[in-house]
Amino acid sequence: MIQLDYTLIYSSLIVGVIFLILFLYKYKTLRIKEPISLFIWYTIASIIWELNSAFILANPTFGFQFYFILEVVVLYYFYNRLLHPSYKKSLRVFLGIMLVAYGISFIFWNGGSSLISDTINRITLTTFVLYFSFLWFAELFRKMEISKPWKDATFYFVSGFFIYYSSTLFLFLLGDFILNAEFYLYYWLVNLITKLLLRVFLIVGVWKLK
Amino acid sequence: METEVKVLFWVGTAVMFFLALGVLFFVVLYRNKLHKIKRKKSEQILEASIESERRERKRIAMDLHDGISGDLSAIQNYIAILHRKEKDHSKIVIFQEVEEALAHTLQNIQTISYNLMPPMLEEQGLINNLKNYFARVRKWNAMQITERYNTGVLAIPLADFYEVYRTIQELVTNSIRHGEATSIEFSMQQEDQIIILEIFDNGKSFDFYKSLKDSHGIGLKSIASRLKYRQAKLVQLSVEKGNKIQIHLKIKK
Repeated sequence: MIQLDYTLIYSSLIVGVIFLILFLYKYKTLRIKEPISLFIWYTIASIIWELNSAFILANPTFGFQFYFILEVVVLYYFYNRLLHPSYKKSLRVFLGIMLVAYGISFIFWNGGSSLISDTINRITLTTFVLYFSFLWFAELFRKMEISKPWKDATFYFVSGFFIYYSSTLFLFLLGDFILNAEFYLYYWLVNLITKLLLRVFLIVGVWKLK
Repeated sequence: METEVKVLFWVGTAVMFFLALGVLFFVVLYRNKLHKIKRKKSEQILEASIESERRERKRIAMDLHDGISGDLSAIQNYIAILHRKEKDHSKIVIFQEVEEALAHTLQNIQTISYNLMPPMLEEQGLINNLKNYFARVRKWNAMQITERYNTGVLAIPLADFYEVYRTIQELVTNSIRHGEATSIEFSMQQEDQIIILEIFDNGKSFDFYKSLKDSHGIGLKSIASRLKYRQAKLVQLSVEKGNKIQIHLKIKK
């Protein structure tokens, strides 16, 4: 079980390295002009952190609360740039809700990794991602500007987020129970696999960027 | 308790994962289907607009030819009668000028009418009309044009005749106007169920499909729409100098 887990961690890291190489190759395309740019920078920071944790064996305690607010900012930026300006109001309302939930989560935060505060944060973020991804899919039908979605970079980004945040919802919802479970890593595999999938989607998306 | 959480976790995660995948599959498949329906609809609109354009051209050409042209001919006759009866030299000169202007206007109307809709297309078919058209191009542009027709009786609908004729007209105009060609070789042959029309000019080379993408003009777009409408194919062959373009038109059974 543990061996399988390590295989996945290393696969995730290898995909991360491929991502970094692709990033260097497509550097010009990824300068701030694209909605996904900030999320790419965020992913790069995560990959470098993961590489650091895996090989230099530094203290893996990550500032989860700081990590989360970064995630909120980059995803808000992504959907804000992506969607029609008429959705700006609902985007701001969601941002407000996420920030309030973020404030509440501090009550349960113990200075390191706290799955209760993570659960609170995750519920709002997952709802945010699923709702605005749905809106983007609806726009896809309404506008009909993209003739083949599978040839469009944004489709891969939105799909990657949609799968990742849907699949990890129960992991974070039941986080507190899972943390105390006997085979904690057994559950954590879901996060690793879906993260791997998200990165594959990001790689394909970045590759498709013109 | 732990078993319940375990079941809830795995069932919940699996449901969410497959739900997400399902949504994506639905988006891709249904979106594709909807796109096909919309494309078909736009093709029908294109077909209708080309058809109505053809009808309108025919109507305007007939109005010009039978109406205005007929009236002008009558006026020309009156002027000729007055001209013959007139003894005053200064007025005779004016009559002559009016007659010349009328003849010129009539000639112009006939040319416009012909360009709008060749009068013989329905009666005499495509080949005779193309021969007639090339004779006019030769006369107006003083250029060398060779023609070869290796086809029997063409069993294609009149609408196809019209679109092919317009496409050839557009390609020849492009060769002369933009390509500055001085000679054109035209051939028409039938291979099984496909009619191949070929235009080979000695003008400036260009890539049809690349120009179609970059161009803001309506000439190339009109060719592409007409061919798409008739389900014909445009093939550009590589040549050292000039342009060789073939149109492949399938004979519908």
